[in-house]
Amino acid sequence: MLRKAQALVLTSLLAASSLMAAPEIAKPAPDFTLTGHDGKSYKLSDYKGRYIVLEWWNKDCPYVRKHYDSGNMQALQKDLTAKNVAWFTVLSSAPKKQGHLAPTEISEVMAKEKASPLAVLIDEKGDVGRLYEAKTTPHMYIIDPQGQLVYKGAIDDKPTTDASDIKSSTNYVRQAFDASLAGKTIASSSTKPYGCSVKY
Amino acid sequence: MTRIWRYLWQWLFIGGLTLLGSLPYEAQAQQSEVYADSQLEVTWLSSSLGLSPGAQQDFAFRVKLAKGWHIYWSNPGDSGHAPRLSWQEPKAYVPGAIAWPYPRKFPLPPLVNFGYEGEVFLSFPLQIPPSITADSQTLKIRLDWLVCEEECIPGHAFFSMTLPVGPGLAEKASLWRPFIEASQALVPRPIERWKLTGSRDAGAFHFSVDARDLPSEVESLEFFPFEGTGLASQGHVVQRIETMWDIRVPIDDVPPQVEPSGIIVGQRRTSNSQKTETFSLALSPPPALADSTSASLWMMLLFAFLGGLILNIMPCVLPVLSIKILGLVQESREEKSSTGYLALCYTAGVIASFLGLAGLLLLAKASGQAIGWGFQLQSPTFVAALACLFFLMAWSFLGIFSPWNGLTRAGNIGQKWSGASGQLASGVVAVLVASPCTGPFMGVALGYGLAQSAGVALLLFAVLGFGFAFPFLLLGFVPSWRRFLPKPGIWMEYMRQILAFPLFATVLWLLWVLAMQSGIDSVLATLAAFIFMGFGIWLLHLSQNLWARRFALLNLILGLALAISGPGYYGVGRGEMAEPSTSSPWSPFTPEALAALRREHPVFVDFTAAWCVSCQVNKKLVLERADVLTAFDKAGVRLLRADWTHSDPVIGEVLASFNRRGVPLYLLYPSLEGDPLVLPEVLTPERVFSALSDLKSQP
Repeated sequence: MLRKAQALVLTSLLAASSLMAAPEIAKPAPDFTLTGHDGKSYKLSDYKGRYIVLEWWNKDCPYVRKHYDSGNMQALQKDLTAKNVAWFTVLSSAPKKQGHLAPTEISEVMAKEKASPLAVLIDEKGDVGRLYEAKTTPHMYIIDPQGQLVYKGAIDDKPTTDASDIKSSTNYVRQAFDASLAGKTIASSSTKPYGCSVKY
Repeated sequence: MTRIWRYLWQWLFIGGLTLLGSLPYEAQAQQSEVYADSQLEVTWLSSSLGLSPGAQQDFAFRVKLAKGWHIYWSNPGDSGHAPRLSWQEPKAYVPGAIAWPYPRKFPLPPLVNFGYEGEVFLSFPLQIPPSITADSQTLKIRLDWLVCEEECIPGHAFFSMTLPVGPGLAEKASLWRPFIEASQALVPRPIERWKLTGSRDAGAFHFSVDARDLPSEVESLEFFPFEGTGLASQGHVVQRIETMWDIRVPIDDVPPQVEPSGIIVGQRRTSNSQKTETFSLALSPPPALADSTSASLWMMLLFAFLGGLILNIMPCVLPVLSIKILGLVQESREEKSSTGYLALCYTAGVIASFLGLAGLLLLAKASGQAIGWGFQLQSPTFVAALACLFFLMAWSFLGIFSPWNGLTRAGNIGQKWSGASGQLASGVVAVLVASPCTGPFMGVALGYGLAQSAGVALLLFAVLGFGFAFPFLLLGFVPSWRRFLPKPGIWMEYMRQILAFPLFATVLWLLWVLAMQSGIDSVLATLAAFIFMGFGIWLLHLSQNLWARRFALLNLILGLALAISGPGYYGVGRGEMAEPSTSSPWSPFTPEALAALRREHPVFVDFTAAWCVSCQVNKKLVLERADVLTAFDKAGVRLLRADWTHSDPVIGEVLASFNRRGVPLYLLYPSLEGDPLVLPEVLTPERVFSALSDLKSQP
């Protein structure tokens, strides 16, 4: 009963918040400020003029592991960072929930995984996750230099936990980024994300 | 006396052991090993005691979940993944889609998932291939799933079970059947009337259901969208507005792949008003016709081979082939050692003709024409020529018309099978004559083949030809079988003469077809041709000197020319329709007529052609029976006839849309919307009655 009420309240809050600043394609991406794992403060609008990628992350989720154990995510991060993309990994897991990590632990994990985001943004309260309606880990967003959201959704088109599917799948992030950079229309700008639920 | 007792005890002992041995075996045989870990247990179950070839049987996965863990529905919701099965072996089996019982909601704020907890049976149909010969089969399947509490763990396992094979085993229930049927009862049934309003631009859809179409005393309703509809998993607003229940569902930003649809799960007060019970209904567009092109190539090749074999006994072919058998008998008398070679020549002729026809069909398909199998008999010129050929053949059987090298080699079937070229030609003639008889198997294989690439189509036609020639190939290569053929004798001569009369009957049938296609005047031209040809034959009979022969040949050629030019001169399409009377319940088929009638009535469409013997047989034996027509009338079904005697491109397109390239085709359309029921090519009154009752039970 309590959970139902909770759900009702949260749903209506979410509905309300989405009325205010729901992330829509070709509209300005909602602005926010979060603390990174390095202790610095990061504001989204400070990175206007660069492409920004937001990656929702949970190191223990099998779908995230598919992309990290195979090196797929790290390669994507490297390639796009080389093209001056500001890559933010967002951790919205609540304390005591799966994937939650203290800042020092995050640095260790990042080093071990050889991942190279600009920063891992700590979103313990889940406010930014809810702002962006992030549902799964991974859930990817691309924002263009003008601050418009150009892609949101899954990382690729094979919603499995099997790393051998990566070779044959279309990477929506790469596809959207390349198209946007070249000034062409993006084939799939909004796709259904797949993964574990974000542990708010 | 004691010996008898001994035997009796022995048999009792063996019998008892067998019984004991079989009981637990049977009880365990209809399930696989259990996959178990700390989150769930999965077992694969069979609803029947064994496998019946050609049947469609139910199987199910039983999933028992640990407390707090759940698996997902076909639409998992905001996250997660539905369980999916993938068939492993044997390859020819085709599993259908899982029949999903209605799920429940698992809120994980701010997300929501749809799935099952506790225990669920996920049943699915499995198509057993019709051609299994072994008496047991080991089946293997794989299931992938995602099981979640808060965290999710993906898993998969292989399941195998060995089942006996036998024709009646599908009906015999295993001990799992009541459970499987109970879970099937939890699958939401489509509701007849519901409305969809709104649009994607407006940001939401409204699903409206009349309260009177729902069970009484409904307390609450929940909506679950189907996967791929682009509808949001939450934010639904359910309201009762006077007599309507209205459910507002916001859209998600994801591009949809299917029309907005989903299920409603409701709670209603039971009659004693103390408890509530759950009901579920599907608000969904009708399911798509099963994609027949997804059938495996091997199965289609098998169908093609079988179709070719069966073609040997189809009405069109029987007269010609009975003559061939006579020829075989004659060969066996002559002890020719090269009968294998001759049989190969026949096979080559058959396969070459099939490939030739296939090539023509593919060319026509490529050039955009909607023609189909049996198309050669759609041309009245061809029909007239064939009638002349059979006329000559019949006379040659009667012994009046002696063989002649040039003109008659092709029709030289009754006389000596003179060598390889004779065999080759007989193969070609056999195929030409066989083509209008699309039997079962053949129709399916042809439809599949022509829908695929050219290579696949040609392969299928070649296999068809092989199947057609197979009996004679066997007889040619396995000389010992010819022991079964009767010994040659004077009876052969009489037999050959008698066989002239079925050939005359075939001529009669061809003339009737010609009348349908090109009018009575063309038939007159052909009959006049017969007079010329008859004169030529008589001349030959009279004298064999050079001038007689030349004059006879002239007559024959004149006759043939007359017959062929008849349709050209008199045109096509002047034939009368088979039912000129206005009191006939059949109306001509057009897509517009179909749509208009379907607004109020179910419609039965008969795709037929005058030259299609199977169609005519079905018509006379089934579709024109009084009780069948009464049954149609009682069910309110309107009757349309699509006559493909002249290659009508509109009808050809409709046939192609059902992956068929020939006739017959029988479709029973429900009224308003819904995909039609495809009836089998060989009709019986029972099949029609059962189709009509299926129609009634469909919403």
